[in-house]
Amino acid sequence: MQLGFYFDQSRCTGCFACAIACKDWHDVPAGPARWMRLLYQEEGKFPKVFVSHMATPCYHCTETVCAYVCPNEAITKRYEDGIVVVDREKCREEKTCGIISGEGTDLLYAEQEAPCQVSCPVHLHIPAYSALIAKGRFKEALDLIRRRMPLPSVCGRVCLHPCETECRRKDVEEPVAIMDLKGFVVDNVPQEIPDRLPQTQPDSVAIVGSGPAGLAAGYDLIRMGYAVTVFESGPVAGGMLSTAIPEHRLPREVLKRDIDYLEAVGIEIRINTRVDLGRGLDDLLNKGYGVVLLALGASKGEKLDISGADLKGTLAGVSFMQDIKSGKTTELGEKVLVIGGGNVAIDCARSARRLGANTVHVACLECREDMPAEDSEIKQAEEEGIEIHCSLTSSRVLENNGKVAGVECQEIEGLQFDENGQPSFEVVKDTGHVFDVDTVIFAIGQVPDLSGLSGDIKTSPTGTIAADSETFVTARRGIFSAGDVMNGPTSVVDAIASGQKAAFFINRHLQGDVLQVQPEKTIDPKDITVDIPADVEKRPRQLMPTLPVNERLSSFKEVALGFSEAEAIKEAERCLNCAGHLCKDACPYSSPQFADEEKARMQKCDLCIERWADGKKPICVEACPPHALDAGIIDELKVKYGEVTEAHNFNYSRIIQPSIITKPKQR
Amino acid sequence: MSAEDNSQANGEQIVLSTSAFDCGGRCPLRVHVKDGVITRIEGDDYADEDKQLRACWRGRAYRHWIYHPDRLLYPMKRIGERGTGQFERVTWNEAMDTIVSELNRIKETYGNGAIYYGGGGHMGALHTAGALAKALAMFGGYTAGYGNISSEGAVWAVQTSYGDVMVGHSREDLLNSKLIIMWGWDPVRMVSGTDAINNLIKAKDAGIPIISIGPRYEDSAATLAAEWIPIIPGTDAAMMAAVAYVIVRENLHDQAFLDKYTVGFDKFKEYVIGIEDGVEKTPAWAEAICGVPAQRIADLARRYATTKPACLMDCQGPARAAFGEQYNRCAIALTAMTGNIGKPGGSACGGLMGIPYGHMFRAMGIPGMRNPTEAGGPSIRGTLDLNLRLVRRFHVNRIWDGFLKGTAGGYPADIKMAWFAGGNALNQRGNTNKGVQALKSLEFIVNQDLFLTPTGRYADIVLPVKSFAEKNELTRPWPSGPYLCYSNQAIEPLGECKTDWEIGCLLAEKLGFKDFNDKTEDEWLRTFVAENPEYQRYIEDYDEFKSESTHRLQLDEPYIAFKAQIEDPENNPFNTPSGKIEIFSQRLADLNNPLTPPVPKYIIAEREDRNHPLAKRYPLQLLSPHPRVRVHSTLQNVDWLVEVDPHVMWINPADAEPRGIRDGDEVYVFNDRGKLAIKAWVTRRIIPGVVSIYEGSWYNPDEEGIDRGGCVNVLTDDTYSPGGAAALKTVLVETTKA
Ligand SMILES: Cc1cc2nc3c(=O)[nH]c(=O)nc-3n(C[C@H](O)[C@H](O)[C@H](O)COP(=O)(O)OP(=O)(O)OC[C@H]3O[C@@H](n4cnc5c(N)ncnc54)[C@H](O)[C@@H]3O)c2cc1C
Ligand code: SF4
Ligand code: SF4
Repeated sequence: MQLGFYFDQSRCTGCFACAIACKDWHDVPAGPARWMRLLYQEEGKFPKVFVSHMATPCYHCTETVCAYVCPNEAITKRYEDGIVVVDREKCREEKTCGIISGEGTDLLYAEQEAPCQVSCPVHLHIPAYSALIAKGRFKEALDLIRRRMPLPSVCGRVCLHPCETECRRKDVEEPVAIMDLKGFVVDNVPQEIPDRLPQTQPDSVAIVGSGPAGLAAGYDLIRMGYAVTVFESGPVAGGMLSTAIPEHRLPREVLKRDIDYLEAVGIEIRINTRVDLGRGLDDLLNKGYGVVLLALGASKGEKLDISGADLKGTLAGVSFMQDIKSGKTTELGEKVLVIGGGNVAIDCARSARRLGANTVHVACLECREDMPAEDSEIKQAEEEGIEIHCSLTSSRVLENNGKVAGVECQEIEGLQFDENGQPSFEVVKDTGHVFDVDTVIFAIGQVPDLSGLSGDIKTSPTGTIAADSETFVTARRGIFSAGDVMNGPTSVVDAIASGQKAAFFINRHLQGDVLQVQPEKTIDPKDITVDIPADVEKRPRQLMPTLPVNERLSSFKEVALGFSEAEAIKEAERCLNCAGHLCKDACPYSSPQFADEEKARMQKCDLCIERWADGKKPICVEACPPHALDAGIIDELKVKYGEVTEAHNFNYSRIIQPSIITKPKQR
Repeated sequence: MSAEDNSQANGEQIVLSTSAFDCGGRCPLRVHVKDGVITRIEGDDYADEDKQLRACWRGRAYRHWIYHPDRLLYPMKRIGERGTGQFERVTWNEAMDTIVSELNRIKETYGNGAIYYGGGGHMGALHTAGALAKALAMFGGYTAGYGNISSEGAVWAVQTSYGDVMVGHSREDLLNSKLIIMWGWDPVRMVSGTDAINNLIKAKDAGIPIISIGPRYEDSAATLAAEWIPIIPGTDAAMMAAVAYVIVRENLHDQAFLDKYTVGFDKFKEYVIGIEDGVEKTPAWAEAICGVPAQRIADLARRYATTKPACLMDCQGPARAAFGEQYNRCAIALTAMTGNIGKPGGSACGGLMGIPYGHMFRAMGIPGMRNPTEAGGPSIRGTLDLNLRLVRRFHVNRIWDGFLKGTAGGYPADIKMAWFAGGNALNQRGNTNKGVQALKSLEFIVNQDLFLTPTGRYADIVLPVKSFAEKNELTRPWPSGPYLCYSNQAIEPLGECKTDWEIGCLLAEKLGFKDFNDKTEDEWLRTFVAENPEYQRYIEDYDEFKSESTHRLQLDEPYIAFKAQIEDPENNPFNTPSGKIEIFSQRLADLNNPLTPPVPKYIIAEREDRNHPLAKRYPLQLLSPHPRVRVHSTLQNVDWLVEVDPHVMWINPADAEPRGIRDGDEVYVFNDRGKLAIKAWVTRRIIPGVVSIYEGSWYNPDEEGIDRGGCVNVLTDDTYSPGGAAALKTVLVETTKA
């Protein structure tokens, strides 16, 4: 048997009688713990305002994700009535959950995130998804990841994972392989085709550019109920993901999997459709799109301004990568020097090896520790015979018969970057050295290609679109920007975060709200205290199995082979669960509540267990003046109230069935 | 302690009680008590769930109000400067002796007229300040206030048109309507009748279209209305005149009804079509004033006039304005023109909504005594001439000016002492900062309350008062019942608290009035039940009533105001000089005051209106509606309530954006009278050009005089309309980011 709630949104007046009655009955003090909470939504421009409420107690779900993640087994689902109860004694009796302290911040306990989550630009619920993986609940983990992540397959492979840098497991031995765990989940849960999300908002949004920024904005906007069309000039969606990041790190079909999902939920992607950045924008606005988001990326490779940089045999990194991906033949010599120290440089070098170059050097300004490229990438590159040379500046490309004949470099010291990313350093005397190469690839950065951009959209001195750094709106109202076109070259996850923020402000704009919001409460992950239990056993990080080097060089096969199930579980078990409230993070409705003064003792709706015994309904039901609430055996409620839908806001999960039915409010 | 329900296994008792707030409901509460302490509250458990009288969130939070850590538990005397809140505990004896000696001194030095007395807050039969008023009258009298802050405009309008204040229908009659127009009515927030919201929801579910008109998209509108028509505050009468215009021009009015039951429609028509003043009150004319598109006004007029029966619901809020009473009078004219009066599914308008069953207005009290200071004054019974009413009394929204200026300023007395029996006047009258000056000018102030309110901080003696959990009382609903209540005492009084009645008796005793009180609490309550005709009719047994607590009156059919007058006019004339509904009032014509015209009119407020030159400096109109999580200033700081609806200022994005105000920003709101600090709530639920701050939040000035408590009355004015309404919504302000 399953008990549950009925909630009639068209009756709820938003009065809170339910919430206060609940607090009174259960003697819950004022404060952040509100078992019965009320979501408030205000939509539409004045005077066409639409207001709706949704009372959210615990949904007593069929699949209790909260119970799965609880390290103390404090949460159980009762067999006899399906009520999910929490044993508050067991909750936090052992120190395996909530070992985090945000002291010195004004964050409430339940708002505090683990260091990894704070450093993830999209704030994925890392401890909670690790806990789900550790319990073998892969589907649920994927659901949780998808809540904030539009491109899980991509970010399970090529993310720069700033989270791992902050992972506190490093204080025991090494950080948890957070990215690989995500990749494992998305590779191993068979992909179901999700339902198309209904359009509930009158407006449509045009997104120019199908890179991670554009797709992330689209994913959020479509979940907010807008119609979303993405315009892509190229033949494949994905931006750099499809055009530049090499196959050996991100195979096409993996990217396609994520894009298929996004198209299935309703994002329309029009490939081979370049949007003219002048009149084309007016056309879009006139065609009924309420907003245009420019997510054009930064695709123009730069070369150093040194003599010989234009000789035959010099290439720009991105174009080189794009040519390979698109199957164009590239004129590559035997001996290659890649200038640059980031991922693009390493990608160029490793791709050059795969295309048959015998000697491949990489020369960069940074010292080894400061190279922006991924450590594992550098390591794999070295395994593949690539030589890395650090703290070098290139001063001249030597010429022979109009072709590249070598590159002259000097050692440097005192490297610094100004706020525009321009380097300054001193050359060490008498350290001249010549690389004997026939090909030079510049991988020193990209700038956006903004040719034809309408004059009323301002640009910055570094050649990016100048948008409001807070609200992402450009100099022209109704046109927003996000991703690398606004920030210069960053990374996939930064572009995603940027797209999500843009979506947030686009929504405010379309709703006729003031754009600016209060700045978010932020905390430096370094300021988070994690009280690691003394008895944590040292257990090394699971190493990602890789393709043998000889097999790598003969093809563009994916190098990383992925964790096995056992490896994934073992790795996930290494997570310290720094943030408490894993249950709250895992719960799609954030039902678990934490009163601040009691730190991490979870409380939540128990459906007023003791009242049923007296033949009474829950106190919230009894209290509701407009009779918006009811409770009972869920199947009977379905019969009694007929036309009902599942609780809102979670239609992208097929696993968790909430024991609450709602009658949505008519617009 | 008495009257408990089934005692429970765990030693818990359930005591049946009700709220007694000055709110729009009266809710049965089943109070769980264990070891003399309230542990939790349940609501009405009436078997027919649909007819349950469910308490609102305020009643639900009652326990944290009763046991609030700031409850005043002992008498106190002031030891610091007025307003600083420094007090020290004294005995009841000392407190009362001080009061008596000051009363005597003031009486001897200045006469009884120098004593101001006013009350408010507790809504019951016995434990009100009635005994106190009587004791003061026996002492030689006092000066009182005239009117009430809430509804004076509506009262004046119904007296003019109907000569009767019972202008409501039973709430279930809403279901007989074919169209409901909520014009300035937000029953969800103000709870106009505990059963109002459920009946409105049922009406909506039954497919009855509901339209909401008002400057804010209120909770009721958001829940119920299919259509919201935003309107500029203070201009309702203009839009109503235009509605009348369309109805007249298109000949949609019910001439037969008008002929039979009303007088003076032709005069109103002359005004509307412009014969009287040369201005046709067309929708286009109204659009320029009220901001509602002319087409919408015309559509509404046709729809209202052709849908029968239709229920136009006006209220009291829009009438708290410079010419507020005209709004209610116009509404009455409209409902008369469409023949909706006295009919099921219709409405009489007039904003008061009461039905004569169990109504709070008809509660009993201990027999009073005529106030000697008012002897020899003009006869004011039934007069529409406000000036006559103010010969011996201060208008309640003008007491501060009166205290400061006295007889030299044309006021009835020179006040030297004030006794506020509850009411929190400093906070709840216009122009709080003037109030501070006024209170500082007095020689002696007494205040009794459950808390040390902003008013109490200026008092010399404060006396602690019991909550309704600590006493037995007869309570009644307002405005719509029909039911009668007995609120049982749940717990022993906290500290040394007394009720207003007990304080009155104590005063009488100290003043040496022997035999002032000859009955116990129980004896009084029995007497009231025995002597009041309504109890006589419905209550057979006092003790049964007491244990039942909420007694529902079974009416054969829903009550319809003026049904008798409409069905049988010969035998049931209206209580007006003409015996008819007075669209034109000869009594007003006789007053010959253009500001109280004999027919309802839109009159431009010469004061702080949008078009006033002052709007250059203070471009925003200010609303001060009843709060959602307080009852006026009662229930302030109840944590469970504060957290669900923090005190904020509503502002439209169109006003916020140019001022750089984001949602949640701290802002200042100010005009020449004062300045307060509050958080902004940027919302599309309010018309641009208007900001709204709920009244009742406690005044708490900092060193610079900026009110950190967000008491909206530091901005409002201490003025009243020609009909006597407190003009608290005709106010201009500006706001900036703090
Ligand atoms: C070789 C290489 C390797 C990288 N490796 C990594 C890595 O391992 N990890 C990582 O995190 N980041 C990596 N990055 C960086 C990352 O790919 C980018 O930061 C990210 O893709 C930027 O996303 P975006 O959405 O802003 O722009 P993009 O991904 O550049 O997408 C912009 C899209 O807009 C389209 N477009 C532009 N103009 C128009 C127009 N007028 N009309 C229609 N469409 C238009 C473009 O065709 C393009 O598809 C790498 C970048 C490169 C070049
Ligand atoms: S069922 Fe009980 S515990 Fe759950 S929200 Fe309602 S009142 Fe609270
Ligand atoms: S008590 Fe009912 S109407 Fe009030 S907020 Fe809760 S569900 Fe909504």
